[in-house]
Amino acid sequence: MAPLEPWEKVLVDAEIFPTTAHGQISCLECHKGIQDPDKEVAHTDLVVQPSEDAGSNCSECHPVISNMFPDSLHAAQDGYWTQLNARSTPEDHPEIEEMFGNHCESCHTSCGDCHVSQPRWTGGGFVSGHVFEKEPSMTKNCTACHGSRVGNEYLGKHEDINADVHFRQGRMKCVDCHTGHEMHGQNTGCSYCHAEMPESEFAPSDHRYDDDDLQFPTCESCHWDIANGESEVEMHQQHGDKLSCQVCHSVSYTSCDGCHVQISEETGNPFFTTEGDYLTFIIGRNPIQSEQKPYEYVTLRHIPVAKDAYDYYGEDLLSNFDALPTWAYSTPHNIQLNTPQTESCNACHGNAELFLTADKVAEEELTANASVIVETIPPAVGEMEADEEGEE
Amino acid sequence: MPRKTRTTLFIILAFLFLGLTGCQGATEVHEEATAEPAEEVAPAPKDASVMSEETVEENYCLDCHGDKDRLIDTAKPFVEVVSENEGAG
Repeated sequence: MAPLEPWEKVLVDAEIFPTTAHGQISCLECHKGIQDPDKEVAHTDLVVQPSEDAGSNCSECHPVISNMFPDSLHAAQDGYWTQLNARSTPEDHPEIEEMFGNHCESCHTSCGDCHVSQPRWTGGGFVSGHVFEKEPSMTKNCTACHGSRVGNEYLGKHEDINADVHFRQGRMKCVDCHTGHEMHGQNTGCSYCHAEMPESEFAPSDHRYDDDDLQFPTCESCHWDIANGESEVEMHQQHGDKLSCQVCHSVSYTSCDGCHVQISEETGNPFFTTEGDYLTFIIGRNPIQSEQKPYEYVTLRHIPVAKDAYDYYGEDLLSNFDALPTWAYSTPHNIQLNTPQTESCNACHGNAELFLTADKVAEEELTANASVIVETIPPAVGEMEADEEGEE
Repeated sequence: MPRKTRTTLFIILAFLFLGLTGCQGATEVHEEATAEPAEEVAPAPKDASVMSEETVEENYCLDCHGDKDRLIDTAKPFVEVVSENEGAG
């Protein structure tokens, strides 16, 4: 996505914006400042991102969303903290909080980052001349942040790899699955919006695969016949509850290694380096098996965490590094009807290349990945039948 | 014509007259109402609490931020920040 020119970032559509609902509100009511023809005077105490204080600026008209959004994953970034807390000890949290503030917090999202402007992380700038868009732009908002993995997969930007069928044939946008309810943190229970419903017993999501609440979307939300065992496809009946959908219907996706963060001595700016990114397709054991995710095998993506990732801020800050796998549960967004795995039974059975075996794991990460490493490759179908006959 | 008959006829004519003129009045009122629908469908006045200051005062914000040339003239010089990040984020 090409960055906008400075003037382009702040150019208001003077014809359309004043006719919209938000155009009826005084500029100063949200942005403060002073009505004055001189730019410097006008910008006195200017609030560039009014929706950072959604409780004051958005809640008058959007009380329900403003109330719950601070607990959403996009605003609170609890997914980061779930992982950081698990891999560290409380004694190290001051240093980790400093690191988080310098490197991770820039991914924090406000109302305006989705409904008015491109995310700040990408340079910002109005998407539609300050006209508030109910539905965020897929490319200017969603994949502007979620681009290097999900965006590239979904839109088919990797050479020789098709875009996800939901985009290629269904022309579906991110928000068709990831609805406003999910984005605004409304998974936390019906009573947030429907006062007549019983008080929610669900805490806000603390990571994106959280099962403790009404986590959506799932493939089965639309493809419910497969979840119910009503699919006529034999492989769905055979593997329905053992394999996640992506094991058969996903193709190569990006993994990353070794992200390290520090502050530049030259400029004083925070920066990161990742050791590498590469395409993989790896099946492993499910590290978060649950009633909603009963699968025995799932696709795994190597995430760019490293034991010394935060050494700039302190020694051994991830002292519980082995608490979570570095090959993480993953839902690649490049779904295809036909994939190399669907060509035959033995495309997977007996094919050690596809599975996360110990020899594919870095030695220093073996303990962390013990729960996802596949010890025994499912035997080739011919061998399996011979074994069964032998047993009889 | 007998007096009783004349009286009855008078009463009928009187009712008829009153009835017709009454209907005529109602029709006129109805026509007036439909002839000026603008009064009926005109937008309600805006809530004073959200009414734009711009409707009554000069809006210097929009004057500048709606004018591409002014923004180009007044924009701070562009300072390119070279990212020191390496690898996929």
